[in-house]
Amino acid sequence: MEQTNQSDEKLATASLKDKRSFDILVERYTDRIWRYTSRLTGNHREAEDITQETFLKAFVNIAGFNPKLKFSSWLYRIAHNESVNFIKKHYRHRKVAFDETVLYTSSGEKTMFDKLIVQDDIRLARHALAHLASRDRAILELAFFEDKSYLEIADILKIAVNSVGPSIHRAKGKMKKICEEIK
Amino acid sequence: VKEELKKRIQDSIARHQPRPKWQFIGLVTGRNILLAALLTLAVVALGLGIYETVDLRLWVAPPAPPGSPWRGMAFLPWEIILALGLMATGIYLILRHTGTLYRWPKWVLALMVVALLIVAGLAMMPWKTYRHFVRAPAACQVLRHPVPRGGLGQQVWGRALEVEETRMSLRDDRGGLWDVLFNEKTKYHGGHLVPSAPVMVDGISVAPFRLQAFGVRVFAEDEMDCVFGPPPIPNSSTNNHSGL
Repeated sequence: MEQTNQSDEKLATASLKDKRSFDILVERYTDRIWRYTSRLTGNHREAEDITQETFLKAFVNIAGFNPKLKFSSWLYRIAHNESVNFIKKHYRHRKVAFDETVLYTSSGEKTMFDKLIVQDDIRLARHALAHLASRDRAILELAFFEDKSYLEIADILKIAVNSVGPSIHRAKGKMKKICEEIK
Repeated sequence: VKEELKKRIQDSIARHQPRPKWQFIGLVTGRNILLAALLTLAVVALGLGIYETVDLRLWVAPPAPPGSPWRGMAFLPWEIILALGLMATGIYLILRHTGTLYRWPKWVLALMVVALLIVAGLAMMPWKTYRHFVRAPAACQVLRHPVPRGGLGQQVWGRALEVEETRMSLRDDRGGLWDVLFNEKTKYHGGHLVPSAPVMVDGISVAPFRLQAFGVRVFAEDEMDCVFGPPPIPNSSTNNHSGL
C-alpha cells in the first residue's frame, strides 16, 4: 500500500532491487503508453507489442534512468523512439494505414483535444490528425491528448523548448489545411 | 485488452533482469573520457595553429608545390579537416550530453557554429592574407622588433650569403654574420633559398652567431625595404665570427 503512493521516480529507483516496484509503474503507465503508441502507429495490435517492448527496455535499462528527471518523460521517450522505429521499418514507402478507432480513449473520456473542438467536428479533426506526418501528430498527441507541458514535450521529442510552441502551431496549421481539403 | 497487455508486460519483465548500474557508469565515464580527449586534441590542434600563425609567423607549413593553393597555409588540408572534425565532434558531444542540443534554440547553435568557423578561419589564415599585414607600415615595425621569444630562441633577419643543403651563412640587418644550420625538420616558406635572398630565420641559438633553424622565410625583393630598411653597408660586420 505504501509503495503505491510513492512517486514514479522513487519507484523507478527501487525497481533495481524490487520488481514489484516496476509492476506498479506498469500499472500506472500501460494505458497511456499504449494509447500514445496506438495513435502514433495507427494500429492497436502493433501498439501492444511496442508498449511491451517499451516497458521491457525501460526495465532492462532502469539503472540508466536519472531520478532527477521525470520518469514519465523518459518512458514516453522510449515509447516514441520505438514507435518511430516501427513506422520507419514498416511504413517507409507508404502511408500509415490508420485505424481511426485508436483515436478514442478506451474509457471514452473526453481529452483536452476533444474539449477544444466542436463535437460535430471531432471525427473530421481526428481524421485529419491521422493524415498528419508522424512528427506533427506526435507533438499534437503529447500537447492535447497527453496534456504534457512544453518542457516534457521537448524532453520526449528532443527539440528546443521554445520551438515546441511554434511546432504545435505549425502542426495545427497543417491539420487545418487537411480538414479544409477533406471538407 | 489492457489487463491482458499488463499481464504480458509483467511476464516478459519477469524473464529479464535490469542491467547493472556499473555498466551505465562505465558507459558515461568512457564517453566523458572520450569527450575530454577529443576536446583536448581539438584545442591543441587549434592552439598550435594559432600559435604557429601568430608566433612563428609566416613559414609554418612545409613547402607545398609551387602554384598549390595550400602553399603558405598555416595548416595542411588534413590538419584542417582533423581539427574541424574534432572540434565539431567535441561540441556535438557536449551539447548532446548536457541536453542543450535540443533545449537551446537553433539560432544559438548556429551562432556557435559560425563562431567556430571564424576562429578556425583565423587560425588557418593563409600566408597570402598575412602578407598584406607584412606590407603595412605598422606591421613592418612589428617585424623589425619581433616579440621576444625567451630562452635561446631567436629570430634573425638578413640576407643569405652562401646556401648549402645543411647550412647557410647570413648577414643580418645590423651587419652581423650568422651560421644557420638546417636539419630535416627545418621548414621553409616563401620561395627558393638562393644567395642574396632576403630571409628571416627562426631558430635556437647553439653558439654565438650560430643558429639551428626551425624555419626560414624568404621574402620577395619588393618587401625587403619594408622589412630591413636600407641595405646594409658592405663589410660593416660587427662581429669577428669567421667560421663560414
